[in-house]
Amino acid sequence: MNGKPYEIDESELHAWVDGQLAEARRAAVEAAVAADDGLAARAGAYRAQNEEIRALFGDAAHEPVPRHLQPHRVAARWNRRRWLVPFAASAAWLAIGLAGGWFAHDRLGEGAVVEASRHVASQALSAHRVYAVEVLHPVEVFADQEAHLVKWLSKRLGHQIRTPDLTPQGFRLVGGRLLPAEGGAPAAQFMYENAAGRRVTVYVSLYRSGQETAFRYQTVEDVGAFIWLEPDMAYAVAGDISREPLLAVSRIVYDTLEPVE
Amino acid sequence: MRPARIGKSGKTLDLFLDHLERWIPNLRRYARALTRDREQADDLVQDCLERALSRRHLWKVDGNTRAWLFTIMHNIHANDTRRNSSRPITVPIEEDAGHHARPPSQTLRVAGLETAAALQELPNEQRQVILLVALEGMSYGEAAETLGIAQGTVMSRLSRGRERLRRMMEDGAPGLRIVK
Repeated sequence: MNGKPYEIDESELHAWVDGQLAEARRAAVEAAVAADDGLAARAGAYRAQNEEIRALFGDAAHEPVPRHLQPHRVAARWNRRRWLVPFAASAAWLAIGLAGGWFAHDRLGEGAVVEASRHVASQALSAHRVYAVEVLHPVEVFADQEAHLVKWLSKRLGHQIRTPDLTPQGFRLVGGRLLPAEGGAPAAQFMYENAAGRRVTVYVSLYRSGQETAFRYQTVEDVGAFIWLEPDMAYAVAGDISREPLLAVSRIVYDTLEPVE
Repeated sequence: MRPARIGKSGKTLDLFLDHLERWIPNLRRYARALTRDREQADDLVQDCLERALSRRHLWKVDGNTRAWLFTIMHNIHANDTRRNSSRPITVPIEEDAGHHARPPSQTLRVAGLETAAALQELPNEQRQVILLVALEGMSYGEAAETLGIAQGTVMSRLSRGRERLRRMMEDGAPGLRIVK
């Protein structure tokens, strides 16, 4: 310890190492470090620590962000869950909840929601039953022209649509078609098929319900459908497969089609 | 500003989510350093995002989003650490086979192993400050805001932590005892 180590204070040494030192104090700190081997050793060690830490963990900031950590997706998922469980035990909701049971949100407009969901379900199930059995003409545009199909249906619906990737569930895209919905509005249907020849259809329509709902499940004979509503759109996933795999497919469809503006 | 509303067309929500998006790489990096495990780190980031969403009404468009997010992450991590200290770590069944076999240290550069090990030996409060400053490049003021402490406290924790690290590195002792 030669020189005059206490002309600068401890925090200035750190600020110098971290590049946070005020310019006016730089010359003083550099002089103090030059005159004091102990200070110089510490500054060198701290700087080396910084570099080691950045080298150790810095790469994590440059990896592609997985889908499940993308905020818009987290929000969509989170929003969906909000409708699946009673949200926020604020006094008002609690009162309604105690009086009327669970699902306070859904219960508020229950009649309207149920009616809208039934309506969409019947359209989606009808479309499924008509086209899923088709051998030669199941779709208007086949999957080999997927880009064209998506562009066309997106344009007609006035909403950017994507085709969900259901290959992890064993379903490949067959193709899609345009359908009439209520009041001359257009709807889109995408058809998928698994190795066993089972078909699942995804139904998207412009439907102004003003509601956001959780998944609802409806069956007609042996075809089941999960339905959910957004304020301006209605979605359904239909298929003659059992409820659990259909739900898994529906979740993926939901994640893919959820508008992320 | 108006509270952001969760809704598919809410412009405020989109703005909020865009702000979050900007800091995801930083959150992941910092979480990785805190947990030293990729899966745990990403779980921590996900928890952090979900809590941020649930508190979106507290977010300010002209505030410091990074400090706000890091504060949330700290709180979650502190709670997790407290909870886990009294019970064994559980691993989801389907992930048990592959991931468990890979020790976290394998992702660390050999030259940094001793630093990483020494860092683990530090008290959490010192490690946090060092990581915020060294890894995240935060100003001392921002680190103070993030941790909810005075800047003077940041400086003293930084100073003690760095000196302790330096001593450990000089002694060379703790490093290879911890690394698996």
